[in-house]
Amino acid sequence: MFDEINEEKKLKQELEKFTEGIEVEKSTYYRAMARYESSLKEKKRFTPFFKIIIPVTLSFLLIFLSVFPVFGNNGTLIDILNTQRINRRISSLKNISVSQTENKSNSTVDSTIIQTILEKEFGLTPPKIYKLKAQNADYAETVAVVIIANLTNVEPENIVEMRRNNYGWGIIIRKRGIDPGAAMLKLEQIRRKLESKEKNILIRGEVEAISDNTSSIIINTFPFKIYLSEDTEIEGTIKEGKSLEIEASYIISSNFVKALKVRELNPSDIGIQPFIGQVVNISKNSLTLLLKDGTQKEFIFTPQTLLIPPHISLIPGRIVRCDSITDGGKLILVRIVQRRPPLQPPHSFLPQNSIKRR
Amino acid sequence: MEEINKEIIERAKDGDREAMSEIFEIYKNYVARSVYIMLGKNDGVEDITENVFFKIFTNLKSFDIERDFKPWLSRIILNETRNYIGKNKITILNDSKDLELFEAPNVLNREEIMDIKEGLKKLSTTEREIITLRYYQELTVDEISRILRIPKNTIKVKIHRALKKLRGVV
Repeated sequence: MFDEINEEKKLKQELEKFTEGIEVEKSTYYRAMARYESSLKEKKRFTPFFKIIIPVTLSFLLIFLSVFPVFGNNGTLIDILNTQRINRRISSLKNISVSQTENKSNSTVDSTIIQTILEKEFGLTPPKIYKLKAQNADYAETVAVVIIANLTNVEPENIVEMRRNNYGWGIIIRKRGIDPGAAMLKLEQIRRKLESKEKNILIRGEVEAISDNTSSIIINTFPFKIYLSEDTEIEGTIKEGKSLEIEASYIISSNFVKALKVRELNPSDIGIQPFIGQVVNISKNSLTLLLKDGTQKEFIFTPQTLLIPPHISLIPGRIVRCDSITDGGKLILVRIVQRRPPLQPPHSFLPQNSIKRR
Repeated sequence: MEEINKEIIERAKDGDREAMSEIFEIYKNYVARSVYIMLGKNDGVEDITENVFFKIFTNLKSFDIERDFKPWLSRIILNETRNYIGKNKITILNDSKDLELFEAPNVLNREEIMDIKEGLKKLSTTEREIITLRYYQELTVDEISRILRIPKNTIKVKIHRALKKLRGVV
């Protein structure tokens, strides 16, 4: 310890000695001072520019962009920012669907889930939902349209019209006087509902098959078996070919669907008109059927038109049933139906003891 | 090295050229000698000293008068020396193979110079920086730790190692 203290003292002295001859001339000061003076001049020259002109110009620009709709149908800068925020939420809705849809048949499930949310959350009737779905390329956009319409008590068609005229979401919600936060909160709530593992869904369609062994039925509009239990409330009878409306609980991870309520349904009650006939002509946008009474009817395809089964080939001469809704004098195709073999879910998902034979 | 009068710094902060000149007079050799120990040769000492004083004058406005001036100055010296070495890619003492390249001040006995130079040559760059800060600039371990952003214990270990390497030379 003593040695180290001595060493330290010695080192200090040695360093002092070592650097003794180093002397700095006054000229170094003059050079440093000259650089300092010149940097001050530069600073003075640019200070007003950086401190006043740029911030003031930027502020004016921001105010101008925020107040005046210089971005055409996208409105002001604030509108654009709101549009982006809402688009992000809509994308997150789409992503949920993508993450859970592993095969094509599940897009039918997505469609059913969304339809249920729109009916239960927003009180929309099935024909209205079909019309909206026919007008929008994807369901996430349909949900956004319904939310905005619901918040302002206007018809969703008005919002659809604005979207068709390329108005951004930001300008739409400003024109409708909606708080952007409220719209985004509602979208977030829907997203959470979509993310839940167990969902309540409304399935409408015709009974395609009944299995006594497993107490289950197959509905032509839905890809998975629907299991009936002792708790299932049933109004009317369940027979092949009969139209039913089923309230069910759907577990995503296993595609297990348990019926809660089953009742008979007349398709016309929910605004759907069925037409049975022979395919005469098919184009990119429409399908023409020759009906039994000898008349021909043209039906319009939409991106949401369901094909049951999905691999159905629509060739002239084939007999199909076209379920459609009437919109502005036109027949819009909700689905085209043909008989198909029943789908079997994986054996491991079948409950063994919980459901009694009926 | 005695502490500078805060009143001089206050005046220099306000742009008083006379006070700036006083700061230069007080610290000119202190700065140059610190650089000399860290660099290990005369080349560049004058340029770095000029840069250090330019930085002092430019940044004085942001200096907190309540704090010690010396650690603040030491950080500038260290940064400017490192910048100079980086920009000019110069070889510092421990990397030099040719002892004769080292230009010593004339006033010292050549044998003594060779001794301390030999000793410093054994140190790494960080160790030499720490030795300069601790034994020439006489900063505390705490202050060195803050300047170099190295934990106090590491500083202590490095000092111990450096002293061990210098043993026999000093």
